Amino acid sequence: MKSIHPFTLKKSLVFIALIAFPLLSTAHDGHHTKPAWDACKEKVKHDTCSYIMQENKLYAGTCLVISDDLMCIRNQPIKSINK
Amino acid sequence: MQIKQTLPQLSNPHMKHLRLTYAFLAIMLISACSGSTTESEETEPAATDPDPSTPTVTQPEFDPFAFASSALTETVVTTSCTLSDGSASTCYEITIAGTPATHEIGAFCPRDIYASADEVGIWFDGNGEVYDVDGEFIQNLAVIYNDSNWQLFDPVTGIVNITDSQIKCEGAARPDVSEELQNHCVECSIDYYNGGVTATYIIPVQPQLASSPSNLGRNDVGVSLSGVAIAPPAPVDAILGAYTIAAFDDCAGHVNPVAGYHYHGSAGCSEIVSENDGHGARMGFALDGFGIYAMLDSQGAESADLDTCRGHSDEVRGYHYHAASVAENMFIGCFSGLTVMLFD
Repeated sequence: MKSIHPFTLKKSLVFIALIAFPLLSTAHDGHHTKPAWDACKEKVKHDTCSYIMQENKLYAGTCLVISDDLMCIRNQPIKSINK
Repeated sequence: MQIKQTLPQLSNPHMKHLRLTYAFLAIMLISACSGSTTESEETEPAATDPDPSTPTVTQPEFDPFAFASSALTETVVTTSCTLSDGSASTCYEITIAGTPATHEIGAFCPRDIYASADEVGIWFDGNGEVYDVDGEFIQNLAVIYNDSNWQLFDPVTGIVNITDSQIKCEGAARPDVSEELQNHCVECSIDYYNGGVTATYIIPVQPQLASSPSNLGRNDVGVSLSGVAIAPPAPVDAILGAYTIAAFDDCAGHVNPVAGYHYHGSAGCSEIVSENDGHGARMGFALDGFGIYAMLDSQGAESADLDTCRGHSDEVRGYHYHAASVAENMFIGCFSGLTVMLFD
């Protein structure tokens, strides 16, 4: 069983609050992969979704939340399609 | 129980407490930012969510010996922990070195517009293409992004604008990138951060499927066998919005001021545990303790039965995940297993 000295814990919390939170909260704004985000724009979590990347590659999966974005998370093998 | 490993010990107890506190808060942030644990309130798993009631093979325990030599900086020890369903459990404390044990870091940005692919790293455009960040790529940015404001190099000398100091690196990592740091290829030396940012992760000894998957937040997804953080997706829009390229090395990793060196994709650099049956090699562990394996098997095929989190079970490995492609800017889709909420 480990214990953290109260002063050390306090210092750590202050450190985290001052240093880590602002950086964490600001360094991750924005979307991640536009087609995957667009594919779930009009959908809700757990809806099926798909999108095309690299002109003819079909990515199919489920809308899930990652870093506060609803994104299409592929769980099917990438398929080549004829346009 | 203490796991025996011939790894260096850090002697400063305050530093250890600081890291433990960081790990604790990081775990709490996962739930605070993503709702990863509050998502467990859901009672109706999606159709393809992992079904915990399905009788399958015995789930192997998390293997603390799978890491590459020198990937960890402290002896792996166990601690009491509380999982995301409120149950008491036993967890490992895994402290990674923060610098890859299996490969060198870099290269990232090209020095000039004549640089070839073998001198530079990679970048994805957010639309599925992965590019070598070579001179040709730098010259074509305005075309690739259909925006004439892109100008990452001096048109007279061909020299590429690079964040070549710690001040510039940290300035370009901010969301409000100042005008003088826009149109830069961003690279940060790991030397700015003492050669690597160590981090401690608390991972269940015995991974367990949750009643429903939980979201990934803004914090790390797991740890690689090379001793590097497996990060959530890179915020491509924000990076590109500042006319910057946060170049990755060929291992899909880069350095930032908070996390140090971390991976944004599975590029084959930490897949060090090969499988005898042709299955993709293991590259790391998710924070719920389940293994993360390469996307493709030895025949170049991808599994067709992955659940929404990109996981499935087999008789050898039990439940495990398969990483997505580098172009997808992610590894797994959600946590199928119970994550750690509290630890001693």
